[in-house]
Amino acid sequence: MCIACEFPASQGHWTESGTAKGPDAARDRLAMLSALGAALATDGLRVRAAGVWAGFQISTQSGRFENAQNLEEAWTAAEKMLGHAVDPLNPRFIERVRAAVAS
Amino acid sequence: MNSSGPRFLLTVLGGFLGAGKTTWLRHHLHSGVFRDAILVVNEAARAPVDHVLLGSADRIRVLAGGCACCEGRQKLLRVLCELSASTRISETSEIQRIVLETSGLADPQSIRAAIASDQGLSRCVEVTEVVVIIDAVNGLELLRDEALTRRQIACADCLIVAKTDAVESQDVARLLHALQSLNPTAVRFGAVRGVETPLPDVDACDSRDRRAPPNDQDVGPLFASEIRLGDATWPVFAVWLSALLHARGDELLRVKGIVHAPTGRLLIQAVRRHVQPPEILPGPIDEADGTLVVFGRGHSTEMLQRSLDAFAKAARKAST
Repeated sequence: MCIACEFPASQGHWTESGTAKGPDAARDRLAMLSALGAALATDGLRVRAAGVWAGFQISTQSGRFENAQNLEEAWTAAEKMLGHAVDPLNPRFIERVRAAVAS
Repeated sequence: MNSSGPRFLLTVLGGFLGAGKTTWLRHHLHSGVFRDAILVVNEAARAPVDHVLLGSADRIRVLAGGCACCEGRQKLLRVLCELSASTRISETSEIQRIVLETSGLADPQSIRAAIASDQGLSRCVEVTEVVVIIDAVNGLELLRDEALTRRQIACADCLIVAKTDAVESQDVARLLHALQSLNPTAVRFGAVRGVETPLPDVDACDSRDRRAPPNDQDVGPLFASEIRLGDATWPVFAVWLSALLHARGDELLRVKGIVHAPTGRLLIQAVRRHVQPPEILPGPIDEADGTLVVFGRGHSTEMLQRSLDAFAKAARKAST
């Protein structure tokens, strides 16, 4: 394998590769939770930081929950709970997001 | 034009979206194989990315905003004419050839035919080799679903099966079997990150592909959408793109772009649902920064842009 001809790659899951390190890490972490929460809320799901590890806990209003290590797993968990994938290109989904912003 | 002397030798490097063309070329540039070449990089999108990765090439021309086998053909012919007019070729000259990296949507045979039918150009440039890269992970599926992939394979003089380390050797053998039936005369090599690797013996294992035969139905055109990231921060972008790939990964064949994040200038590249570990690019900032190019079906630029903008607004509101 040749790595000499590549630029250095970020470590960890790709969704974490751009997240700030150091003192700003908490700010980015919160922003990610907010963005994920805003999207999942349109389908009635909630998200919160999953305790001490850097994952997410997705839950339904009835209290059922799934843990996810990263964003990829979070969407898989949401699909499992909803019975369908959250599709960001679905016009109805986009309208619900826009309506939530306007409210 | 340099019509009476030796001709430029032209290597056409083709292969479908995300096959690994730039990776292969990067390694060969790094190892000095193409030290005598002028590089011409063609990208269908208006916001090119690949040339950033080929920064080690001393001589590079970028043809963006049109595939060189169709809408960008005239531009390609013009560039080849310019290069042959401005560069003197002799047996001892530093420059002997041109390497053309086509866009993933190009049919190399059309490029070869266009050069051959241009009498002036064909006196100065000779297509010596068509190298086509196919990805071992998605290759069989692409051969079944994409007529363009079958055309690319059929016209190759040399076939490179890339990413052989990501699948079992039995899967590589099945792909080789399919390649053999489409193009029995091409020489074949394996590659991992551009480095040549041995290929399994097709005859030594059960390599018949039991999948469905080629799908010749019209599956619709592929679109290249370019969206601006605008004020979407990294967390918003990561949430949005991960959702998009989860829901639409089968339709989105290729995603690439340069994103500015707190950790640096990141190169984002995905083939279907698989996202490569983002490379951290050095400066300077390029005009393509902040644009994401999405190739696929079942979406439009407007849909993608509306969706990302809605995510960004919702995240902003949620965090206040």
